[in-house]
Amino acid sequence: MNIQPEALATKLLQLSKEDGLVTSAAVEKVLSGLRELNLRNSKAVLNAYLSLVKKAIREQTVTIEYAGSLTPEALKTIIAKYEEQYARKLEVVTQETPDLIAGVRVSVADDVYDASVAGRLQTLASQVQ
Amino acid sequence: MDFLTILAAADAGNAASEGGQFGINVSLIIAQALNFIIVALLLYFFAVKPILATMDERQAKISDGLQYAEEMKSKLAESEREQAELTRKASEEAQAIVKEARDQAKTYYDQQVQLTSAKVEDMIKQAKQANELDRERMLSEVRQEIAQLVVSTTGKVLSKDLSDDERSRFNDSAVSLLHGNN
Repeated sequence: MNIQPEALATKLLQLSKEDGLVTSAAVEKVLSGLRELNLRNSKAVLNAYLSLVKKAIREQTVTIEYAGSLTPEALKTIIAKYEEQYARKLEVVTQETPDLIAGVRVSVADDVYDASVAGRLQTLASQVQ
Repeated sequence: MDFLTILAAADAGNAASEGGQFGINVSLIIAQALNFIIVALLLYFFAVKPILATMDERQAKISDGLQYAEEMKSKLAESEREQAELTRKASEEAQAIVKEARDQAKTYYDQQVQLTSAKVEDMIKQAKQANELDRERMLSEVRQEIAQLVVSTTGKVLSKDLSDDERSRFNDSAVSLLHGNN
């Protein structure tokens, strides 16, 4: 059987999702299945699969940075907002970042939404320059 | 007795000894005339004629030499004229060449002056542009540093001065802002 690594990796990625999210348990299952298949081009397939999994995890993860405290309601509001915006379920990672001074910064994949004091100051500085 | 007296006496003695004859001997005169003629002929054929021939030959040689000298003189004069003409032409050509060289040198000098002037103007222009760019870059750097300093100072001040309550309120406001934006 000679399947293109990229095509196989794409199918494996679909098998690695549970409820729309890539989970470690599903990935473990896929990897054990690959071991049993003992493919001739397993290295290429694994490389392509790893790349796709990294991309999927980045796209399904929303990182919420804040300074001070953030209420659970505010957190829920943010998650709901971006799940609706990206039309997919998102995995939430929260992180306290004192450098923000105050406010919130949300990152989804390459998109950054900044509503922090540090961000506003930086915008001001760049406008002055 | 003086010398004249002695000579007159001797002459008188000789006249007495000849006995009064005139002394004309025809045969002797004829013999002497023949001798003279023979000697004259001998002299003519063996001395005068070769000498005349030699003289004619030398005269011819001298004449040839003189003619040759005249020819050489005229050739020399012609040669001098040709040389003078050549010298005049060469001088004219040399003057023309010198004039042309001067003209070319002047043209080249003018061109070089123009080129140098243009280069100098370009250099001045480039130097002005470089100065302007340096000034702009320095101003930009100064602005950037001042802005960063202001941001840093403001951030530090706010970090120290903001209370937890103010931070929470700002966070709620930020969440509302994010929720409102797409």
